[in-house]
Amino acid sequence: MTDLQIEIVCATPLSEDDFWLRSALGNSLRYIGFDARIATCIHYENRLSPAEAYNDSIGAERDSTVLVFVQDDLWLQDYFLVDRLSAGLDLYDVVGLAGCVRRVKDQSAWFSDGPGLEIQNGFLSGVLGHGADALGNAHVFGPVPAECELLDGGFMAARRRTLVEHQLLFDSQFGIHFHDMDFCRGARQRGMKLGTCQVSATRQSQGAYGTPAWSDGYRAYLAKWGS
Amino acid sequence: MKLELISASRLAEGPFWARSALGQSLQKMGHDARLTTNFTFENKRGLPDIYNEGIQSARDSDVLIFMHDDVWLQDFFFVDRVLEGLEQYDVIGLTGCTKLRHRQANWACEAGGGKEIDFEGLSGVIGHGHVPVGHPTLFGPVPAQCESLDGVFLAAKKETLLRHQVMFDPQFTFHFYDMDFCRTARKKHLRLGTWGISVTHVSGGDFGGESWADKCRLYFDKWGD
Repeated sequence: MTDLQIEIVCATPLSEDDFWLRSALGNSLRYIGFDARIATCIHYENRLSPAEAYNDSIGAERDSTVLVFVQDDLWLQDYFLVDRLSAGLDLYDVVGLAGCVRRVKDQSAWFSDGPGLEIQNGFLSGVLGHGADALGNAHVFGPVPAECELLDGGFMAARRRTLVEHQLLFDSQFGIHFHDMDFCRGARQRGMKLGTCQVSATRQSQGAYGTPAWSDGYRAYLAKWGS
Repeated sequence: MKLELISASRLAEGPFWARSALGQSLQKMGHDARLTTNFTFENKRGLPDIYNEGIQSARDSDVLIFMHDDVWLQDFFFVDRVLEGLEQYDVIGLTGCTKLRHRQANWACEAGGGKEIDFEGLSGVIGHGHVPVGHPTLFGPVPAQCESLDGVFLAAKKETLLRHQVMFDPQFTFHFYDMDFCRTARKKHLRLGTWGISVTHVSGGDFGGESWADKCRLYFDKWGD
């Protein structure tokens, strides 16, 4: 067994009671939390960008060696989460559940083939369940593990020391949309390796792509990165 | 590598896929070309008969997985997990004991034929419940080399079992077939171990009935201690 100490970091709009009773992540953590190597840092009733909550953990002086940035609608199904992360972080600096192995011009989401939301089949990696309950129907995006350019921000993990050494933070101008794309671009700009790892999980939402808030985020992202 | 999942269910084929934890899990996990299934529906035969047919069959499977039908497979990378485990051990399970006690009647039980769990020297993590991601019990660190494994899930390379002539004893129809199989494997110097595969077991086991007591006597008659 690995001796990693991981910290699950989540920014949720829910109250503390609702998070632990109603959310997929809260329910998951009640079960997989038997593992003493797992700690949590949950920001309840969060109305700000998750970037600020995530950056707090990156800058914190705590014992946890690995930070896992997770959205609250994710069911974690693997009792051996820490071991999976250890295997993933032996290969990559930042790991996720799904991502793309190439980045194209004006790419608007980790899975898209350009500015639209068409899927770039053949260039994706990851397996992720979809559904309201744990063990949703698995969607196979592509082989895992694979080195990636961009990762889905529903779940991303890295060693705290690696992030600090590379001075990589989340940009708080990005809200729930594009904070992940921006983070991955920043990581790649610093020469860090990104990749998918084999953590079994189910996502409740399909993402809120195409909303006005998403469009605003896309414009801000393109203004920052040019493409 | 080709993996063959062998399971016997009392359910008919339709209810198996609609209602059993294993049937529902496999549908949710999606297709993996490396995994085939070999299911016996409406089963009334002992598990050793069915499992031995799998070992001796002409199918070209490399790895055999013997499994109960009341198990939620909740790891989408199940096949990779099994293959990883079989790089370390000849036979893998989810839970087991690292040493055998005197007159131990179950992989987890205390010495002396009792039915209480003795956590010392146990290994494994398994969830319990009627829905996926049940409440896990931590028996002990995983992986660990073991003397005996819980028969809810066992996997081995077919060639290993054939080469060492490790089979299930048909006299242990539903109880003690796993203990006996592990004793046989250890006698042939196979390495047994637990592996970290995330599953939830619906039932908590069926210990202490008349049938269990009968097989317990048979088991101690066969193995002595």
